[in-house]
Amino acid sequence: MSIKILIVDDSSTARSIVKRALEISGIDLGNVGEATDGKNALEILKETKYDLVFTDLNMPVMDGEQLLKRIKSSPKLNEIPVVVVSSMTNKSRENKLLQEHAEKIFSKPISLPELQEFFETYFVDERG
Amino acid sequence: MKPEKPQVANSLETAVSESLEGLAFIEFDTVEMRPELPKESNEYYISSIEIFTPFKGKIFLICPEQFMENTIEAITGQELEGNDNPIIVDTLNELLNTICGRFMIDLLPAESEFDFGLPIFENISHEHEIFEISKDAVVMAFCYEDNTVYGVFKCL
Repeated sequence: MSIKILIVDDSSTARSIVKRALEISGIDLGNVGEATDGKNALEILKETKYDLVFTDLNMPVMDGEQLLKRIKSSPKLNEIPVVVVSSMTNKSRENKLLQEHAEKIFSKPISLPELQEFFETYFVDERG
Repeated sequence: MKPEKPQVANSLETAVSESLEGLAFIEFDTVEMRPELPKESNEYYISSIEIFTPFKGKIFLICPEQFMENTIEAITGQELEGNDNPIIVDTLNELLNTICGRFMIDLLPAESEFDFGLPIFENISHEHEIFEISKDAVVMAFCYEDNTVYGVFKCL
């Protein structure tokens, strides 16, 4: 089963970096969508179904934490796992995001072994 | 708190080296602390980011043009066509954003809170203005082939 992923970051370079990391991580990657901020991501999610969302935190218009809250409080979207990729992470912020139901938090630059480990664990859990 | 100069130098070295290696597969030939930035008329792209918590400071990333062109290609897999300023600005800012996060994680004790702003592309081109950045600052020079990239930290 190929996975459809939406990447949310105001930097096109950052989106390219995450996309490339996903491509070389070995997962069966389906459609990869891109959004420039949280508001843009919500608009896209209304129209298109994605299996996972990778989001930055620090963004104009609507930041990643707001996006996470909006997805998790939406009956239509709350099943979508949200992964945070940010340079602004520390332990207490990570814990807060996990309490808000983020699936995983990656520090920038995203580590390929860590990404692969996440997918291995994630799919094992998903299969039960 | 005000960070000590040797710790800042170590953390800046770690942050710039790890970020460039992780994002663009660049391993610097040499890294050294310099007393100041060079007074030369090389063409540089400069970005800065302000740190708000737990101390006030600013980090500058100063990259030669040629280095940025090669780095953009390595990061995005796209060849730069002409002087594509939006891509240069975006890549330089994203590099500095990543560097700043690594810098804070390396510098501060585990579980420390920190906060910094968004990177800003600096319109500084005159060598005198560039040299001024290094006043009362920690200047680290990262040499890669014929290029020298500078990471600069100063307390505000």
